Amino acid sequence: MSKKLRVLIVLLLAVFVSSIFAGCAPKQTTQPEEKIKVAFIYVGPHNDGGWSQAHDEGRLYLEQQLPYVETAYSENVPEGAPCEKVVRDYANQGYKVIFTTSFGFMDPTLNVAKDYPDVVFEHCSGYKTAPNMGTYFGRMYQPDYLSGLVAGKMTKSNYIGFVAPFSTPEVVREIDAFTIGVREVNPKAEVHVIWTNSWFDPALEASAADTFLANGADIIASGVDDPAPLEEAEKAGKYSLGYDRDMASAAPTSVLTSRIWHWGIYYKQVLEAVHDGTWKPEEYWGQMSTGITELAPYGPMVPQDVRTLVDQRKLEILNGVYDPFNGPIYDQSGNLKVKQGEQLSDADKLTIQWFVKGVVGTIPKSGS
Amino acid sequence: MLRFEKRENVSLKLRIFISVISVLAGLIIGAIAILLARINPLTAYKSIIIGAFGSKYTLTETLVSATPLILISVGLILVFKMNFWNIGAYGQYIIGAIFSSYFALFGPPNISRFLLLTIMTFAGLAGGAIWAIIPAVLRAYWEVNEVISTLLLNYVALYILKYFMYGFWRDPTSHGFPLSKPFAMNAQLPRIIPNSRTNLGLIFGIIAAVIIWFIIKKTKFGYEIRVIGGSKEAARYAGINVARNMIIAMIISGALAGLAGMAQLSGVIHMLQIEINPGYGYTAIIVAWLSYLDPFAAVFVSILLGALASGGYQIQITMQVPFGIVAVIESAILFVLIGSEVLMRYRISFAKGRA
Repeated sequence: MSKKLRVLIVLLLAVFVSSIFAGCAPKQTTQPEEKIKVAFIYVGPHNDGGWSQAHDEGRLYLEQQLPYVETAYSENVPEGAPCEKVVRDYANQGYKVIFTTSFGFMDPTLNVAKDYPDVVFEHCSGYKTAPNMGTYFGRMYQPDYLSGLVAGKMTKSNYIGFVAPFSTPEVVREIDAFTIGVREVNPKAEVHVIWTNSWFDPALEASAADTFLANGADIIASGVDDPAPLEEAEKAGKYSLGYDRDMASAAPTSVLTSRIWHWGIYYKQVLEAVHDGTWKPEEYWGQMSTGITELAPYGPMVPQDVRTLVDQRKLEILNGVYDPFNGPIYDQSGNLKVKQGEQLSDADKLTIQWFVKGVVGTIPKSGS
Repeated sequence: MLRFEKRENVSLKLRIFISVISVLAGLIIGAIAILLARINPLTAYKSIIIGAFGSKYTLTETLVSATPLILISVGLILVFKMNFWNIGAYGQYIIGAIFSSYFALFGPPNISRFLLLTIMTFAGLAGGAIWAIIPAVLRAYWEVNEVISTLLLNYVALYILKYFMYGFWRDPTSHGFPLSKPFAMNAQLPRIIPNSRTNLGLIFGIIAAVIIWFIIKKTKFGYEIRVIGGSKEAARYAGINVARNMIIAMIISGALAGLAGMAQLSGVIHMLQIEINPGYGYTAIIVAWLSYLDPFAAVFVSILLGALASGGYQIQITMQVPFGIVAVIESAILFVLIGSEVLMRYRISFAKGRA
């Protein structure tokens, strides 16, 4: 049996191969100058309407800005073994800079970085580095806070639903900053949290949003990678806050504003450094004033007085005179975590695993 | 009306003919999808082959993809021989992975690599076996349909894994992300080809294939299994203990799936996390089927399907084909191959009147 099968397999392969090479003349593409090959790894589709698309827009910006750069991407890459394979494939194909754009890509990226010391790796939103691997992120909590001000002013039911992916510090920080903004202008409002335990699961996110709406939420904030929760809010005639990109087009009558990423600014900076030979691994965490994060234009339903208030705070953040994590800040059970006149340190912000007062929800405990 | 008539003996010639035709049909369906993405299908297929076999690197990656398929499929072959449909390799793989991870994560730190890996190997085997005993016993003594019970236990296994990953096995320094601590060096299977990820798991797979072949062809147990597969009634009449054989076969099948989980964690991923199993348990069913339940053929079919997966990742990179197109090509080929099985086993004719 096995012998027959082997014959069969060889035959199949022969047919397969010959059908390919027949009628397929070798095509030579000539390149005038050696470009730097840059790869991007996305956890969702490149056109997910949110997180991955924001990175893809950064990739296109990079291509358009720097003529000596050539880019490629892989999408829908799971955060397990397949990720390491994809990163490895790129490194092996002569890609010189590889951006991996999801938290769960951190260890796979590190594993490959060890085996390819001549390739530059940049991992988004993590905390592990190597001599040839840096991390990068932006202070999204600043626009988060500003959108919280908008939400606090606009809510009537004082019930705001936040559809959140994983309880990583990134997301906890987002929810905290958002809630600080909400409570600053509306101490009665509460921010309710549902974890979807996925970056990209539109069906689950929609049902989380529906749960909020059924319980009386009149604003839905999204921390996930796509506009699904916003679309539910739009259907219910309620307001929502977009994330990653300006999501107004996904739910035009619902989106108050969005907190958005401009990754291209950082990508250009990295590639210029690589090109000049000055690249060094760093833990980049860009301020809103660098332009890496931004608050999208307001929807038509946001009244002028709210805009004026938020714009004022935005100016203070951009000028560095105000930070959302200025004290006093209390945690959920009312303990004073940051004293008046002090500010939560960057180290604490980067590892934050507690909710501020006004958040309704729990952070799953890590063990051992 | 279509009429299906069971073929008695399928000649090798017919087999080759149908397989070639069906692969070509699969390639043509895939080609339509590729054309819709405005890419030359011939170039795409060429890239898949180069992406799977074109260099030492891609060849070793193909072997990495094939390793879990080999381990799981040869185990499935044993139970499929007795017409026991184990759809639960997915769950057995996960439980094996959890069992072996326990020793990698919480075992004594200064234990030797050889000893730790031996313990992890047996833990993986045991985990998979335990998960397989449940449906085997249910089937053997209470006639509970094993297709349903093994399938549903997959979900139970996945939720057990999630329980650990969102609970007390989560690395406190993982910042809330469901990952375990990385495995230390002494919990990692050695690589068998330098500068590649091809690890000892591949050798495990080949040894498993030899053992399963030996069991089926050379032992009384294997003979009994084949008799049970032919007719359970006849087997009982001949005095064969069907229940006992069923349970033993499932223990072996589950153990190998559990070992696949251990080998994948210890040899490739080096940590426990939720996404450790992109459907190997299901792909291995296809492998077992396409290899006509021959363990050695299963090794080659595993490598071919591993190549398809591995090459599929590569064409995303080399040709910037969208992910969906890769999935369409893979599924078109597999679907037609499976569909051709009907042609292989039945003669189909058009007939008037009742079928």
